[in-house]
Amino acid sequence: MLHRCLIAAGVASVLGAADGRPMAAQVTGNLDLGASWVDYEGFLGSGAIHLSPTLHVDLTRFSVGATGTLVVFETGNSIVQGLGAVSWRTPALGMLRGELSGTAGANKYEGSATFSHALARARAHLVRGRSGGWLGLAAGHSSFDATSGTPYQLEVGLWTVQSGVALSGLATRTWFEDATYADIVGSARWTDASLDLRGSVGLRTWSAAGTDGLYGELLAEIPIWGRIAALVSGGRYPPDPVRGVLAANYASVGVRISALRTTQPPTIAGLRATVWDSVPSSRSTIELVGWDGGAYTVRVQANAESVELAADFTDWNPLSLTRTAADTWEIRLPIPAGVHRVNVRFDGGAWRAPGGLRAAMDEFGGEVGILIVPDR
Amino acid sequence: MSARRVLGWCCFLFVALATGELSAQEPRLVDRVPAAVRSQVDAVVDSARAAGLPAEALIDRALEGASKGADGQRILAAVRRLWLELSAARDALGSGSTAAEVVAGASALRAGATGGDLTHLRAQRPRQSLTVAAAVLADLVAVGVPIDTAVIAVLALAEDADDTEYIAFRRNVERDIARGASPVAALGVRLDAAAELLGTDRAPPSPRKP
Repeated sequence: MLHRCLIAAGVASVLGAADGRPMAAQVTGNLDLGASWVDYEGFLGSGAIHLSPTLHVDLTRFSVGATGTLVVFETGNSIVQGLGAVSWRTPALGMLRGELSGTAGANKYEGSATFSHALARARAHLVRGRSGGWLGLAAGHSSFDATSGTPYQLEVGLWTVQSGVALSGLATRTWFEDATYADIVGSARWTDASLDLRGSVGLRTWSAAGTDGLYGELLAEIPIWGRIAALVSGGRYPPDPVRGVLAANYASVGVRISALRTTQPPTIAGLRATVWDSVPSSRSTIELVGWDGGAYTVRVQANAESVELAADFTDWNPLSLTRTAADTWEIRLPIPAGVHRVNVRFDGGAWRAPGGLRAAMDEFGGEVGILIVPDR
Repeated sequence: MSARRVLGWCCFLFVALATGELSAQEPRLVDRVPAAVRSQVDAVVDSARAAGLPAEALIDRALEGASKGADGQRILAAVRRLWLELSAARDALGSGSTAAEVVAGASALRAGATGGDLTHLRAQRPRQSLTVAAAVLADLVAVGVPIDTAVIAVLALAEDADDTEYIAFRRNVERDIARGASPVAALGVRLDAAAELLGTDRAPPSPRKP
């Protein structure tokens, strides 16, 4: 499960940052196969099979990785998801070390629109012996169909490694559109030659338009033979609106085939995403305001130097909007009740479906926004 | 197939097979749609008028393709496809349907609704416009709500909700999904809330397997 992977990676990242010794380039590639029972919020429980290839490259100060997952349910429906990550760590400055990281990913459920996200994160680590802590900030972009937004996250974490057991605590506060929530998560990992055991317990709280509650996950990786290990996991993870992950209870068994391992891994391999993605800055929304009995004011919010609109109610002739405030553009038009097709473009760029409307394929190789105007 | 639809098909085939010289030139298409296909587009528009379908929607679709630089054959294919969808929607909604209702019905059919769904919606909402209800149905499917569940939800609100409430319902469902709720869960919660607001007693749709 992606969410579980991210939690585990979060712990690993911190501990990786603490490991100051030079590390040779390490390339690891795994293929996970298994069967699950999963109970997504809003759905009935279902059996599923999953396939998940992963590739990591870890250098002394730089890590990059990618993972993909295909889940096929009893019904034959499927979820496809992918995640790419990169991380760069600064040289140690006394007890301090910086880290810039980012993730970008997408997932799509059968017949539904695609969730996508890109998050960039900066962290300052304080490392003292086998313990430490960090403070981090993250921001990025998340979109689902025509809906998109800018998530922000503040995080504070502590970690320690004692007698072969790694413990960490992480508190995050997330702001995403009108949803805000906090997560407090404690994680532990214990590893020896015959078992790699990871667990976490979390609390989602101080939630506005989010979901409060407890969650937790447990994963055991048991070497079987050569490059093959058994995986047993289960638990519950909370919804993640930024990455488009539904809350779910699950139990899973499977095998991990380590297809690629160029060096011995460190005790705790670290990877945490990281990339400033080329997120489009031209997020926009469109709305109808100010009907006066004959016409509507069409208002577009966009960070642009020029905004044009073309629609069936303009005979598909482009019309320029007038800037009425910073990032606010307007035009008055007679628009009859009904279903209309609308495109906008910014600074003479490509025509696109405006944010705030359902986007549909337009049969001409692009997309168009669907505007519903009720009877007055 | 109704007699009206058979008649419509005959009109369509007759006019479409003609070279276009018999069709009136639609002035809005002149100098916009490529000349190579304009007569054929005119013919489809004429056949729509003859069949009592909203021809303006076909003209709009041709203009949209032209404004986006699509080639003539692509424009013609899009117009012909819309003609068929409009015809099916009008058959399902009834001959007394408004042009806006037929256009919205065509949008719902493209999203996956059946003619039977639209006919049922008309029966549930005999005196109110179906334009917004049908458009909301298409929107719900587009954000990931399974078509059968979306139909149940739209029908559940059909008797009591006005257009504004339909639009608010759709907006709330979409917002919940964007926050991470599953489409079915979002629909159930919002349907419950809408039913309470409207004073109706509607059971939310049953969950299903993913």
